This record gives sequence, structure tokens and C-alpha cells, in this order.
Amino acid sequence: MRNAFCEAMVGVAEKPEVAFLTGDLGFMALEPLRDALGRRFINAGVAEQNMVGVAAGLARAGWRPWAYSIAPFIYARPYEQLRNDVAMHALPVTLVGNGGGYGYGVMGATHHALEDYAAVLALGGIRVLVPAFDSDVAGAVASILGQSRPAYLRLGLDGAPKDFERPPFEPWRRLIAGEAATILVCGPLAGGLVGAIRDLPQERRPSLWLVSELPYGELPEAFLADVRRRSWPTWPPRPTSSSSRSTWPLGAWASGWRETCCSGACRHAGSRIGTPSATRRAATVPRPSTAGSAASTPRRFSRRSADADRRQEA
Amino acid sequence: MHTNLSRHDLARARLRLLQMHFEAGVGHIGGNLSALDLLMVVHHELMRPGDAFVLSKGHSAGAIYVTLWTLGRLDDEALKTFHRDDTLLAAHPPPAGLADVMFATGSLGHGLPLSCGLALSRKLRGEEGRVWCLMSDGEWNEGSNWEALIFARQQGLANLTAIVDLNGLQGFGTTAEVADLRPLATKLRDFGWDVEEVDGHDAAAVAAAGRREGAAPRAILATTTKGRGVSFMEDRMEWHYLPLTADLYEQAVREVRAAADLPSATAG
Repeated sequence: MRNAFCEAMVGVAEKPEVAFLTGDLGFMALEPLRDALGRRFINAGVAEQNMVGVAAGLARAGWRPWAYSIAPFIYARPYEQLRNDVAMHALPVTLVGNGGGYGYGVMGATHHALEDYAAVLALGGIRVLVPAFDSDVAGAVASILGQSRPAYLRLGLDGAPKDFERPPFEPWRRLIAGEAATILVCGPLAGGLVGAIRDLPQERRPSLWLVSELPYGELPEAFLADVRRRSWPTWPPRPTSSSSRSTWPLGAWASGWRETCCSGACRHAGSRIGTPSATRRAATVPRPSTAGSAASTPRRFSRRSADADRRQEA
Repeated sequence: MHTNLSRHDLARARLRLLQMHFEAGVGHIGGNLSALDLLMVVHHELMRPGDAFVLSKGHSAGAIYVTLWTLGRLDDEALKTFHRDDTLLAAHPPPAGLADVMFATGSLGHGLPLSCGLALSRKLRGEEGRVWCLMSDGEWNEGSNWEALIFARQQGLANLTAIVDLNGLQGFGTTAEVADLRPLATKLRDFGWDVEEVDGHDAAAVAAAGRREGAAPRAILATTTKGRGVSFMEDRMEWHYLPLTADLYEQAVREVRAAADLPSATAG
């Protein structure tokens, strides 16, 4: 994804407010960007705290600075600079972490960043963009530049089969339709899943959803519909019939959440999560229309983004 | 060497700072008194349009508020809110709301990298304007400052001046006891900076050092006295923390007035 990222950045290099800082990384990858940006490409050395502070200073002076390193080095080492200098001032600095999650694999534990976007999101007011495919990166870069806010761009490895037709970058996408469980994935893990499930027979094939921007706001209606509708395949496989269909709590949970969770004063009253019997009941009892309750359900998952918006306005 | 700041100007600022801290009943007075003369010189004598100032030693926010008061950028009503609920004038500077305060500081080791960003911006755009950063001596314990030293030299940030308030005392001991960096001037020169050492309470000397320019980033090491101007505070670590009693406040005011030959009856 590094090359796709470089290409995407070269594509926006003509914007005079774009500046790029690297923590001494990018050999055999970012040279075209260095050439395109000239003096606006700065190797800040192996000094990430200073680099993020410098980026905040540049942003305060009207620049759109990008600061690049391996994922754990760009968010964890300068975490206080991210917190105080960037997030606290809502400055439009973008941190770019290459190899987020387990992306660096056998390179060793110090290079993993399984917790990166959880830690970044905890600060509030920072958008996290997680492209899943090389073809996503330009869209993610454009999305970041489309808003004047702090952002974390987490790069990984596009692992989808070559012939898979990658849909254009969006915060939410359904990659594969199926009748079995609904899977929601964040980031390049999606590619491996595509390879694993796309050839399954339809009744055993999960519906695969991909989220590429966090915090993700309200869950899309189509995703919820999938969650309600789909069931996990039984294991070991049993003869399929509508009467003996086994289900997994997720579908019941999602429908229960829409109908009861956080509505009125009860707060999670009559939890629908958990027991197989409750699950079966939820799956077989005809459900009342959710239209009314949906309208009155507080937007539990959108609260963070609302906070972020307020912070931004302030 | 020349300054338009009279000792009366500096004494009036000192009195206003003492009054503000007394009325709020809070500490951090010692480090504010050591930094105040430097802040007054930077803002009254050295800064020009296009310049920027970053207070890296955020615990001297009181001194910057009072300096802005001397410039007419904050009024008495604003200073009355110092350290109170809902104020913008917290013990450390706010992230937004005060046009003259660019960054919320208070965690040490942030101001110099931020200043490097502001200086780099001016250099990349070919803009005039100098970036001034006031630092404490204790904060040289922070590694980020040494990263910034390397960066500023590497990027040729000759438009950056760091002023270090060398009062010799830090949070829980003298700088010599805690993390002895003497001689700091030698260390900074070895990092490729132009370094000048001055008496931080000699306004004319600070102004002269600030006006000089060179091809490298500049550091002015200003030797100061924590609690400057108040006998019982000078060089006493506890005045990093203690608030003033009424009796001590009266004594402090008397001493500052007497030292500047200000009549005791005249309001500061």
C-alpha cells in the first residue's frame, strides 16, 4: 500500500499547503513524492516527538502536514504530541502509520500496532481512515484533505485476490453478499476474507461488510438488515431447512438493540443478548416493525462523532 | 544597548502579577517572577508584525497574561478571572480563545518542536518573521527538546530564537542536583546553535541579545532568579508552589515598589 500511498500523495502534491514529514522511512517507496514536493518533503530524522510537534506548528501556520512512519512509531512514541499539540487544538495534521495492526508480522513485536486506532480514537476528534485495498488509498487521502481535522491514516497490505473487483472507497461497503452470517471487518483483513469466502455456496457464504473510517457514526441500515437476516451456518453442517435453522446471538443482538437498547428510561432492559433459547425466540418470533423504535432510539454509536463535531466547531 | 522599558514598567508588571496571584490565592509565583522580565522584553521590544511567540514553560502562564495586560491585550476584568472556574486564564495556557496564545502548553518539551514548525513554515514560504520560544531550564530534561535542537539546525531555522529562563530550580530540587546540564551553553553550541548568555533581569541586555541575528538558530541563556524582586521568594523552591498570605503580599508589594522607587501610595 506504500506505493499506492506515494502515488496518491504525488497526486495532491500540487496543493501548495501540503507538506510531508517522514521519520526517516520511505526508502524505495517515497522517492517520487520527495521529487514532487521538493522542499516541502522533510526528513525529520528518527525523532517522532519532534516531528509531530513540528507538524502541529506547520498546521497552526496554515499547512496540511502529513507525518509518516511505521504505525507504532507514529502514534505511540509521540502520543502526547498527538494529544496536546494536535488533537487538543483540532489541527489538521495527518499521521500516517504504515503496517498497522499485525502488518509487519515476523518483523517482530515492536513493529506491531494492534491497538493503534483504539488508542488514537480514545483522544477524540481524530478521524481514522483504514484503506483495505491499494485502490482505496487515493480516496482516503482525498477524504482526509476534504476536511480540516486531525486524522490517522493506517496503511496495510492489500491481500484481496487479484481478480476481485474492488469497490470505490467509502466509509462503509458490502464486499460480498451471502445468506449466512454477517461479518464486519476493518481494514486489509477484508482481502483475505474475500479469498476465503467468495466461492462458498450462497447459503453458507457470509455477507462481508467493510468499515474504512472510524469512528463510524450510525450503523448503515443495510448492514443492520443483513445482521438481522443472516444466520451463522451450523457446524458441523446439518441439513438445511427453515424450521431447524440454527442461529447465532449476533442477529438477535442487533435486532434487540434496535428495539430495546437505550430506548426510554429502561437502559438495556430485558437483555436479548446471549442464551440460545432467547436467540431462537428472537429469530423465529415475528418481529414488530422497527420503524417507530428506530426513530426514537438514541444514536448510541454516533455519540463520539457528534462530540468530535462539537469539538471541531469549538 | 537600549530599551524603552523603564524599571517602572517592569515593576508595575511585577506588582500586577503579584496582585493577580494573591487575589486568586494560587502559587507558581516564583517561576512567573523569573520569566516576567524576559516576557516583557520580548513582547515590548523584540516582537514585530509577523513574529510568533510560544510559551514552552506553560507554568508561567500568569506572566504572559500580565504581559498581555501591559500591552492592552487583556484587561483587568480578564485578569480577575485568573484561576477561577470558567476562565480562559487557567494556570497553564488554553488551546483556544486567546488570540495571543498559540498553543496550550504545560507539559514540558512541547514548545520548541512547535516553534520549529512555525519557523519552518516561514522559511518554506519565504516569509519574514521570527519565532520566539520561552523555555524553562528544567525542561531541558525532556528529550523532545534535544530532537528539536537537531531538527532546527538541520533545517537551518535561523529565524528561531529560544530564550531559556535559567532560574536554577526545578520541580523537586536544583537543576544541578536533579539533572546537571551545566554548561548548557556548550551543549547547545555543540548542536550547532548560536548561543548568548545574558542576565535575564537586565532588560537592555536581553533586548540587545534578542536583536542580534545570525545564520543558525539562536539560544539566549538568561540567568534569572526564581521569585525575583521579593526577598523571601528569591531562590526558594517552595515558591514554585506556595500562594501568598495577606501579610506576605503586603511585604512583597512594599519591596517591589521600593526597589523601583515607586511611591507607596500610587496604584501600580
